[in-house]
Amino acid sequence: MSDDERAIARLLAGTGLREDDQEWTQAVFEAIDRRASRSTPRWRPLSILVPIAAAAAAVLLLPRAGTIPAGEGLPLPVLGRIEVERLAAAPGLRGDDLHPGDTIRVRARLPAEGRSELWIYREARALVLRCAGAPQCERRAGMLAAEIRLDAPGTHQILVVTGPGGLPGPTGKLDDDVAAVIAAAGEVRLSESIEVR
Amino acid sequence: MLMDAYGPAVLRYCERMLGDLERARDVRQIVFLQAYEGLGHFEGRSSLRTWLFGIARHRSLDAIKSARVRRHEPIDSTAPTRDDPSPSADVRALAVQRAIIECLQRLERGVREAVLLRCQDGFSFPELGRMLGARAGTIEARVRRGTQRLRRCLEHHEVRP
Repeated sequence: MSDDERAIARLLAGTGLREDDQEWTQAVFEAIDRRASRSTPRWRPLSILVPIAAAAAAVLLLPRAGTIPAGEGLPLPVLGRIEVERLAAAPGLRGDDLHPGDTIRVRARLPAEGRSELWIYREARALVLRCAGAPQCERRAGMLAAEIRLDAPGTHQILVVTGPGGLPGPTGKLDDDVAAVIAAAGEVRLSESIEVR
Repeated sequence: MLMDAYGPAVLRYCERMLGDLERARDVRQIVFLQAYEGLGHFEGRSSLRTWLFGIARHRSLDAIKSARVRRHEPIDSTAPTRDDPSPSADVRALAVQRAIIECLQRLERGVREAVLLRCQDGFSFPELGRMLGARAGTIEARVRRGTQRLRRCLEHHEVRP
């Protein structure tokens, strides 16, 4: 960047609006629902949208990281839903927040068709787990489960990706990896972000 | 997650393109609605971010055109919005924010979007070239011209970038 660009960039980044509308995503989902109910045939060619929108709507209902219940024995997750539970807290740290050193279990029910993997990213820039044969992952009875120790703070994103045949290998950049899966006619299911503080 | 990841940046871009936070919020909803509808057709030739900002750019331009048709007057960039801080908030920060909006609105639309996408959202010139349908060198010249004019305008408002 030139000096002028850098100066303007600093100024633009240092000023601006405050996000005071927390309901806007819900409004988008409602608009999607309204359009879908008005013109069902329009959605048929866009079959990929349905699981994505459903998953996104479902994850909105998930408890935030701060209220993830501990314990086991949860029923099989519904299709499209990614469940996260805390298995063990880092020594000396209590409370509802997730901290580095905590261990979580992630479970997702897989579609019957295609090949599915579970990918976990930190800050959308680092792939911290790829369940495609990693020892922390277990796949059985249409479900994929993974246990992972959270080593560093940051926002974690969990994806279940499904491809009709194969899947492109993740690069570690969430943005690019999602684009590649969609470009390969795959589906992506996303969890609510998990905050590790 | 797309909305979590890109919602704030898209809103900020729309607000500074339109000079109006309430309309920017409306446009953002349209952007993400269209993104969900179009995701099945996304071919992965650009990053999701570039694709989303491409939609945001088009919908912002639509909003600018419809506002001009409806109002027959320039966008009032200094009108108070819900984003205005309370009287106890930092008056200086508000003045700076208003100066930025006003100076941005003085730039031609094509220059404004290039400056914002480059300086605020960090797109490279090749990315901007593909997004705006021009050569990277042309966009670079546009941004250079825009940032210089923006800087002069801001200094006139006693805001030093």
